[in-house]
Amino acid sequence: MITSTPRGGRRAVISGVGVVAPNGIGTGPWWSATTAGTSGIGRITRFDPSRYATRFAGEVNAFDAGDYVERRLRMQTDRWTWIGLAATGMALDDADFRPAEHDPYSMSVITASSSGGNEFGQVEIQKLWSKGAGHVGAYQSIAWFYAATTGQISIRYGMKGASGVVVSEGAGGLDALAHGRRAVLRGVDTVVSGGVEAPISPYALTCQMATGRLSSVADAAAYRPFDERASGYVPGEGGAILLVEELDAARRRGGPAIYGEILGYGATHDGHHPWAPPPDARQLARAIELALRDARIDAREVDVVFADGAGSRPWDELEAQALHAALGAHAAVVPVAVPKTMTGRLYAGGASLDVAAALFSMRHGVIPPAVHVERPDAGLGLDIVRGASRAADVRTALVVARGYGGFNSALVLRRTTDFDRTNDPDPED
Amino acid sequence: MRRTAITGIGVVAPGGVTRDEFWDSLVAGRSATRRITFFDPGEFRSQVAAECDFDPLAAGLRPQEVRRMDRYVQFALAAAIEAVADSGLRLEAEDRERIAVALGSAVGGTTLLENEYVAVSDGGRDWLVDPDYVSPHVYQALVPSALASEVSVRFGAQGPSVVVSTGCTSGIDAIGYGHQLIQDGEADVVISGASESGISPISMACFDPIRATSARNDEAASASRPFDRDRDGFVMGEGGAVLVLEELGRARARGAHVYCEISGYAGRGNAFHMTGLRPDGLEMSEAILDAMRQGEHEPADIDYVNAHGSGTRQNDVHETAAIKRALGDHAYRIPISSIKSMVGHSLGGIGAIEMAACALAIEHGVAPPTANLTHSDPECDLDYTPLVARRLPIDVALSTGSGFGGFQSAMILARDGGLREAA
Amino acid sequence: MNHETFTHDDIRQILVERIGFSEAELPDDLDTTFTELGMDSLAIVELQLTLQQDYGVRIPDEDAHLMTTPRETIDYVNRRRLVSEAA
Repeated sequence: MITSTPRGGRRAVISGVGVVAPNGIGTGPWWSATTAGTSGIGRITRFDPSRYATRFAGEVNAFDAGDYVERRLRMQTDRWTWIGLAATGMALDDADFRPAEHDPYSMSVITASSSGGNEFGQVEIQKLWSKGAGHVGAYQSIAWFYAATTGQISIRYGMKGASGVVVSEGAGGLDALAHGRRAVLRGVDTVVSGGVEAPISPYALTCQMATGRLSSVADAAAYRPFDERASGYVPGEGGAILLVEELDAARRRGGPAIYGEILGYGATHDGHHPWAPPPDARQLARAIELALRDARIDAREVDVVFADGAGSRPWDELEAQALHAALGAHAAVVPVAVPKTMTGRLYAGGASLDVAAALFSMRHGVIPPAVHVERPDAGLGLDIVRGASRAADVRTALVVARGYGGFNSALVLRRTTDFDRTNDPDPED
Repeated sequence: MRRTAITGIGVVAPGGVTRDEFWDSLVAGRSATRRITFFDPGEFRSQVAAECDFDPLAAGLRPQEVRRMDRYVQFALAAAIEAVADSGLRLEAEDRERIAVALGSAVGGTTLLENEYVAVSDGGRDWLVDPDYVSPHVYQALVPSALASEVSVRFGAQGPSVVVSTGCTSGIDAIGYGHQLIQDGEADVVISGASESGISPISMACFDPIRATSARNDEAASASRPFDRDRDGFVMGEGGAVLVLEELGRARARGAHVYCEISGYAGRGNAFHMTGLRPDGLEMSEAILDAMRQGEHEPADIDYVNAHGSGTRQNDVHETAAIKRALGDHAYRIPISSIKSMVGHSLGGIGAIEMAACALAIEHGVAPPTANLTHSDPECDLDYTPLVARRLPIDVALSTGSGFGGFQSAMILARDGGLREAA
Repeated sequence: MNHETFTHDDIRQILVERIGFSEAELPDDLDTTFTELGMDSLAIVELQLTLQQDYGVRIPDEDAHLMTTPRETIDYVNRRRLVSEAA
């Protein structure tokens, strides 16, 4: 019985991954491209970007919504929701999880959101202002708002458990997974989690550019976190949906091998300024420390760090400082991965896709490279995996994510195959 | 397990832009709905709304905050300032790293986003909008996380910070999120609530085609008529409320005034339709039952229900069924009311305003009425507290919420020391 | 004002372009209800909005329920046009 009261002994694992990314649709193509260092960033084609200072983005150009969403539903939803539904279907297939076979109340949808249904919203608001109120369509009330994708996923798959939408800009993907873990601890067996974004439309791009954090360098390689030439980031669309299950429930239903466990999580806020950088990296470091403590691991057990990779100063410096403060001497030797250099920053999809990459690096023993970081800032003291993928035995991954406005989140993932119980909490605790 | 106390309340609502004014207005049964004044509503089907007569500077905001924050953020900040003052917490003496923020909004910075859109699109003429004319703060209107970051920044709160955006249940769900942070030991204090300011052309325009909002434009003050036979939709509102949530043990230890504790919170989804509701209220009743189980409440323990009561024909039937299914015969014995009858429906914000009303109902022993309920609907045959507030001891209050996307939420507040001292 | 009759081709075009019907889903029998055709409440609203926006037919609230099938819709639109032309 689901009581929503936390019960000891329940653990949250990830059993399915669905990806729609600028460098690959589906985890197979995406992981192949990612390990090959193939970028999906290019000049914006969705509209003519020449009047905008930022003309490059990670678009998912090969995405045919018709493969995933029936036409009538496409009329009622934004591209952001099409991508979310597509990735959810992929994650469920990956986990061999059939929602119809499960108690509807045992399944929840808890995803991150950031800018919502941008293109749909711009179409409707244009009709309002150019033609009048009577020209806004029937679907605006359900297509644009931040909960739209979560609602549609729950309806499509008949999921009646406590659902949620978490917004913390770029940190949202980790916060959503953590909230999914809270649901699992409270009795929900399955949570569709992660997040996706579709921010490439004229008004949405204009809003993003107002932060001054996007690069206006006219080059597909413009987004170079931790590089001497860092000039800002490039936005992208897509993300990842992750199927979170309670460990024993996943075992009982006999699904395919799970990827790993959500072992630890920490979240803080700089509490400093609505947009300006904090004077030090104390709170980002603390988010990492909280995650390590929650995971009951020592810093030296971290085999790879998937970095937030803001791509501008002083944010890159702050992240490096946080890693050194939280991981100590280990920060100088732990591999740091920034696969989002191949996709751009995906907001609600960003940290979610990083979690997918962390899980795949665990499963395949490969850390993907950052691309375009040819001149890493040596003063940062980090071992950024660059140029080519690196073989590595990845058992434990740390994913770091920040959100505009001061949000800091960190997640520790542990490879868990064949339902091994070596991670069971010490009965003394 | 750790328990959550409510030690401070702040409200910005139509008819009362402070907590005390809000409560007085509710108890008096006064409607705050009127013809829209924020813009000319002449071409809209629904021309009424519940607007806040809000002065941000008087509420304690600074000019630069007023300049950069969308109105809904201003509401939340004002309510947070009032709530923190009410709690008696001296934040400078607190461990800021243990103070979290969890706030809700359904449509976020829609007002600022629309105003900026008009400028950069040349009044809707240009698809390729002109970036040169946009406000430097427009990104914070596009992504609603600014609601949380602004409050974290104002109070120097360095604990977890998040916006919950689950449509019209955002308010209950954000407070529920804060409650779970305390339960799980991730924070000791949570500044939690919700806010919305969606009385703008695009928001009004999106509810018109689906006839969700009242078209009773000639009788604006009585347009919001939940559970009434002649109801014809909800009245758009704006506003916000913030509660200070605090771990119960430390609240008692510092001698805080504890309004009540959160004894249960649960959500479900109807997984049915983005806007439609089945008349059986099944999933809402499941959320209520789950919240009751957490608090170990029997139906007979519930003294008052603050209903979602939006005033649409379908909601009020759905909700009547849900309450009956969850509470059985007891549903007929207790006062139930919808304050949306007075303050309108502020989408993501109203859930928090309603939780504030529940806490105040427990505090004062008064159930606010449902205004404008002059002709009962046989399909809504519970005691919906028509027109006049009711004085009675309220130890346990249930609040329900329902929203687009199928979200159904319930939260139960219990008087501190009332029923659960065995724990 | 468009003096042409509103025909079943017009309604089929709306169903395809605004509601998302495929050609195969279009009804041969114009008395099939929209509900039977799988249209939800929002899709029915969208259809009526198209009539208002693109065909200039104002539909007062009280008439919304009069169009449950393609045939009823065609008849309603043509009646309303006669009325507005006569005015």
